Amino acid sequence: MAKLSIPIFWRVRKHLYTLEGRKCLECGRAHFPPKNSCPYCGSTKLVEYYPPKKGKLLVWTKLYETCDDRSAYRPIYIGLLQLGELRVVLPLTDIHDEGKLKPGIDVELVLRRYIEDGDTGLIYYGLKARPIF
Amino acid sequence: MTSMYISGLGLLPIDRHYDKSLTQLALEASREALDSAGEYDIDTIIIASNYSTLLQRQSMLASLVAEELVPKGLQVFNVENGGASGLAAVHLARALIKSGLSRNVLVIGVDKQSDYPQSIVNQTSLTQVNYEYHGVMGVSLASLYALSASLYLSKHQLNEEDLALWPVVMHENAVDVRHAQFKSKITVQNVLQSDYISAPIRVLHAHAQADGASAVLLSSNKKESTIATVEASHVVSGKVEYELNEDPLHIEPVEKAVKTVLMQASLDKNLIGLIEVLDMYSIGGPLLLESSGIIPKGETLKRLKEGRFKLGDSVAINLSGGIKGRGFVEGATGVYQIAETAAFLSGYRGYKQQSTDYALAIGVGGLSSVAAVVLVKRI
Amino acid sequence: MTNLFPESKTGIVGWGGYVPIYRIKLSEIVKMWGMQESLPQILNVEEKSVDNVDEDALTMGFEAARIALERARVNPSLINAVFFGTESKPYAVKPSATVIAEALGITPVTMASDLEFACRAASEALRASIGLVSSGMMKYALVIGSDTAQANPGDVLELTASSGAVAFIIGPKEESAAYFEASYSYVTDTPDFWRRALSPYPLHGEGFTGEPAYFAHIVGAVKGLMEKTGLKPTDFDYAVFHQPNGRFPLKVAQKLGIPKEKVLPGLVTPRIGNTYNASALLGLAKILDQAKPGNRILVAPFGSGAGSDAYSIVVTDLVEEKRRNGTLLSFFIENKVNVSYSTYAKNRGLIKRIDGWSL
Repeated sequence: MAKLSIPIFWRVRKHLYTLEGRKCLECGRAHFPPKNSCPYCGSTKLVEYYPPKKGKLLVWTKLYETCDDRSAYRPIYIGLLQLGELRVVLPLTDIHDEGKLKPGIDVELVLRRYIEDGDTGLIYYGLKARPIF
Repeated sequence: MTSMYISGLGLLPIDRHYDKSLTQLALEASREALDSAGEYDIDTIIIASNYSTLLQRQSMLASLVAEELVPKGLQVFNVENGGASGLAAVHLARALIKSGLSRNVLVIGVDKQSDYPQSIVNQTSLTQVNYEYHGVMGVSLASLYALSASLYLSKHQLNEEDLALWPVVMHENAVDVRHAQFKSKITVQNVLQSDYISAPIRVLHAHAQADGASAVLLSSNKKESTIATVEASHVVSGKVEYELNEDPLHIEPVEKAVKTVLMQASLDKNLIGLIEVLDMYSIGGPLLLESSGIIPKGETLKRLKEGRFKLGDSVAINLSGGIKGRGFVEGATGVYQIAETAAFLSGYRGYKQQSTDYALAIGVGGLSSVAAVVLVKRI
Repeated sequence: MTNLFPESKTGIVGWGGYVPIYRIKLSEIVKMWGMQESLPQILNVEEKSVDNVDEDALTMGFEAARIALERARVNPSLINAVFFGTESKPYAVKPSATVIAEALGITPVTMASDLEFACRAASEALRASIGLVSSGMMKYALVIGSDTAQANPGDVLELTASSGAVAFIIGPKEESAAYFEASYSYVTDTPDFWRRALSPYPLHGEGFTGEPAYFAHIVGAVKGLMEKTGLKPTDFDYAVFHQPNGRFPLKVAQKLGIPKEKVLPGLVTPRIGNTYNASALLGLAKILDQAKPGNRILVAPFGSGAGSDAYSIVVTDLVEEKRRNGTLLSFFIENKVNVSYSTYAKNRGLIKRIDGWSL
């Protein structure tokens, strides 16, 4: 049986597919997820900001403690990334050589599955980061 | 400027109470608090619970408890602020008492995880990130604390062994705490040999599944049973999304809340001799303490290694054993923290006593979503 | 060639190929199921690509399409058709093309659909796109061929069924790295390979997939193209045929009198297996990654059921600049990690699990 909401993720699909964030015209800082006012200065003068497809890994972890829905994905690698002016937390994928997974390495964005809603519900897609080894 | 009196405590043992429902746990803690106060004339119930709607699928829990505790009816509220729920509930109680709308407020914290397997409990933590974004990605709270732990250790040139000392000391502290979940000691070796749940966070850095309830009777006037006072309290929101923090190692709402509380009480931070801090995944301890301004950046684990922060030190930290020793009961934890500060300040019913006048309870929801801080004074 | 066909107004403005990072050696599969050890050699396939657990035909198609878009350098909103050819779509009902269109910023003013014709759907989409663009109905169309091909574990098909994606942006000849000279389709009702509606794996007619299906249709399409255009095998610098294994394309070339030297540069199956809808078209992408202006390419995809399309494509001066703007297919072919049968089985969803606890 499907359990996840359809509209919740439909509304933010573009942000999950492109990491479209916002940039503040007052203080000049970009942020993600997108807010209606700047999280740094409070201004509502914001424009869309699309990060570049490549960036840097700042720090990462490997998460084992997941729910059953994601056990096929376990362990989930998660990184804090710098993508242009955006800092963003994203799952990492295609990790086969953990020894090379070091802060400062280049990463690129790829579209992958985030989660499947059981065997019958929707598949939720979004961007993950793939290290460029 | 004493504003509120703590006159009754209920501290249920933290455990997997398979035989008791969420409501039963809340009622037991409530009766213990009211019995210890000898005061049953309450006009307000505030329940702090994080997951009652999600796990037990029960909303309006305070009404369910009130039905049995005060059938004639009273003011009821349910508070959810993540791991800061309990302390936020105390803050609200203070506001009601200061305003004169309430005289005797029973603040109850309760949560129960053992109704479900671990996988479900893991899933609940996705509600403590921005669910629309990081929830669907599976970025749980544990992984965010892990990122911070990595950043912290590398910034301060510490290693996993240094971090492992935190849960070791916490277990030591919990040995004589009768409501603690784990009263056994562990070693640094044990910690380092335990599996990663999200590197560098290991199983022995993390709380176990737990059920529990704690209650405190807060009143506008001093009673015979009064053991401590609440001098100040504050709640400040922060950033739910990890990447929006200017510095992931600085929990800004904690800094703001502590500053405000000290200002409310016109208190020098050096007069605080006891802190109960929400030490999520071990790293939460150093993060919150250093964000509060009470301990300099990068010093917590170093001082811990020097044997500081124990009972009798100028400032004792987490005599309860923290989330690892005492246990972590989600939304109830803040109420435990308040009850514990009162108990350790007064040596209440056989609890150990720290010789100081002031204690601070610091809690946080998520990693930086909201901070709640309460200043408690010995009577 | 005297006649100018409508195709010649259009060409490939951008192209991209993608192959997942994981590979399984055919010898692993042979050992697992007790097959004849000489099969990999007979099929001329050493290893096949395996998608990661979070990949599917849609995500791979997106990655190929993004590379094609990087090469095309066109405003995504000017693309007015997205065709997704696959026989392993993530949803039985619900288009994958819309997700890719949305993720690439092509929506909402666009056609979008998933096409099915075994391994040939993407080629059908290519020919339809040529028609849409040459007619002036739209300036650009995006064609994607992508598959995470299924095979009954232990069946000989399992040795080659693999995962990969390819994408082309079809647009005006003037902006193209290669333009279409002519095309020709050849389709009959020949049931050599099929998968019933709710069956997880396809079945096939073994030897019947060869002569009456693969060979008859490719030969029919290519000969038709040559008759239509007057082109001869010697006019082509490269020839790319559908690549269900490493042997058939060489054999069909022989039948058509094309030397294998013209086939080998576009032969990718020996390294990555049969990527179904991406198979021959990945071969084309690989040729575009290396061809010189003026080169003429013969391309003939094939799909069971059965049909083949033959294309004559001429490389233009723009090819080198466009090539530099995107990741070369050879990167994905060379960049690989070998996995065990168990990892492959997990990634491919061959291990039966039930839903666990969930809120």
